Amino acid sequence: MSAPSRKPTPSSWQLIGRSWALYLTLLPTIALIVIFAYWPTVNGFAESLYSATSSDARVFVGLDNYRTLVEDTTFWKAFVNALWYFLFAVTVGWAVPFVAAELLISLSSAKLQYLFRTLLILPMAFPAAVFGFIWSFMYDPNDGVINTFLNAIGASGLAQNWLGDPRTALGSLMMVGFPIVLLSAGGGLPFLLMLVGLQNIPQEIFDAAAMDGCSRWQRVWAIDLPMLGGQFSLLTMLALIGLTQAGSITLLLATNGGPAFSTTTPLTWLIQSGISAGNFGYGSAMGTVLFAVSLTLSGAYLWFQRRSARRGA
Amino acid sequence: MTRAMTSASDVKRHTKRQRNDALIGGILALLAFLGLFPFGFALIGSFKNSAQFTQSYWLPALPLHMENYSSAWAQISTFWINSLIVGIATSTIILVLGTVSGFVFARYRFPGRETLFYMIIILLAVPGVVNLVPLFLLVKALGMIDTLWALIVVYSVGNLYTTVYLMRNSISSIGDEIFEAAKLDGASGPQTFLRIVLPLSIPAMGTVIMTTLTGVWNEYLWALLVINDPAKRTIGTGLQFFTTQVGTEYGPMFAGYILASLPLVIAFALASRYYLAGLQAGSVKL
Repeated sequence: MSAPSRKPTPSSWQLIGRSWALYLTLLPTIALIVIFAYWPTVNGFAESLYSATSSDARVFVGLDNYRTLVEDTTFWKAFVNALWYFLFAVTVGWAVPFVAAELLISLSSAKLQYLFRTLLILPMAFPAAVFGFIWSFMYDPNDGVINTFLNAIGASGLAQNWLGDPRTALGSLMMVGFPIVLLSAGGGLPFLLMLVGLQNIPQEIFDAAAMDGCSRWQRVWAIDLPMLGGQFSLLTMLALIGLTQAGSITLLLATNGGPAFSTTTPLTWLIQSGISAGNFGYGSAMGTVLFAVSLTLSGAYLWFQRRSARRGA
Repeated sequence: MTRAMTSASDVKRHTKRQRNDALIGGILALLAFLGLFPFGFALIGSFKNSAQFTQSYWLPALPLHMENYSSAWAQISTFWINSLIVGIATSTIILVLGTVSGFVFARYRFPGRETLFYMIIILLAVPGVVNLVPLFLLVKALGMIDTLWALIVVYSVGNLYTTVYLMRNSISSIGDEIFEAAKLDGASGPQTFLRIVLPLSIPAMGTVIMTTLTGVWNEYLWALLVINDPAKRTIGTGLQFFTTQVGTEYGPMFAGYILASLPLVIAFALASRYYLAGLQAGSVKL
């Protein structure tokens, strides 16, 4: 039997030797991350200084790609669309799940809570592609569920070519998954986070509030919303990061940013003009700008949050 | 006397609660119905032929046309199997790397530990779109275009940051006493990992498997860029191809969607409990 307490203090060589084993254990993880995450990020910046319309002919063009980008009206249009996605996510995308989560925890029976929680998040179990295609069928102008329903109730005037009309396309894409699992607003995550947040509030707080004569409605404002602060800040962060990746659903529903660029987002535009068109330098420049935007936004948010936390303390 | 009063007020409270439950349940049922309707419609539609689809648009129709499923399967089985291969390979890679790295970060002190850890998790803040072009060029240079490796490697890396973070947190939350006891029993690092950390990490691993499989089954953006060969398509990109092929034959189209969804629905049924438990335990915390 060894007695670890009487072990001599390890020499520095032994320490290094032990640490080497640890480094070796971490090596595959670090290597994968360096090669497939850090290297592309650096290389993306380098690539953005080249005009590479085909893989063999690359010309150094300095900041030309960035200059073109600033003047690219589609790129700006894409940003405005992404902003709409963001606004949608932080309003409808939060309000509906919050109301649903509040209602759910107000049920007195645990069994009912479990049942409705499962039913509400069940759409999450479907693959995004299936989700997108089934909803694309909902919107189909001829055989789609929405138009068929509108015709059936005698409201044919409201029937639209939902995804084909520039006026309705963006809104229709945002509504995919309504009401709870909104694909463009984080899927089922907002609902789950809010639900878990509400469930984790200690029962004593609710009891104390009830004893103080706090109504259910007052409780929402005085306790529930403030207690969900952590969840909301996580969701805000995700929505800010999501700004630059909004609209991937567009690619799925084959509107490809159309009609008339009404659903183009920075992401779809990067793919269309930067990769599909083979203009890798331009695509890289766009990626770099999006990175900077995303970093600035989330950095500013964290700074703001920390400042207000310090002030509150 | 007191008992009678209590039970009377209990009854009153009970009926009020029941009324509340009925009202709230009604609203929630409506929300659930709206959310599930498209999938229910597709499920019912998957058993209809074109004539039944026109005649009975909203309601199920008999006879059930099971052949929709066989014709859909004939076309999507390749995508299905490819997604499964990619999903299993990706889960295996990130579970091995994620648990081992999480364990090292959680339980050992060594020079550079913080730096390495932050080097990994800072990537969580880097949106994927940033790397899209250079990653595409790298994968192309490595000759991985039109191979499943292009998906496996990139999905693994993409899921690794979260996994390392999650596993480190989960392993940190295991009580110190257990590790002290293991040390006293003379257990080595690898033994501690296999006998203590892994069994106690099952909920966290469930979360990882669930999110990875869901992620892989859901992913289409990257797959659209790197896979052109129809034989290498996965569910995400294959369905697009399939949808244009079956055209306006809705029965087989819906059957294909249902078949494509099966693994996720099953995984959801099996793992949602773990996933939610992980969520509840605060593995997602800021």
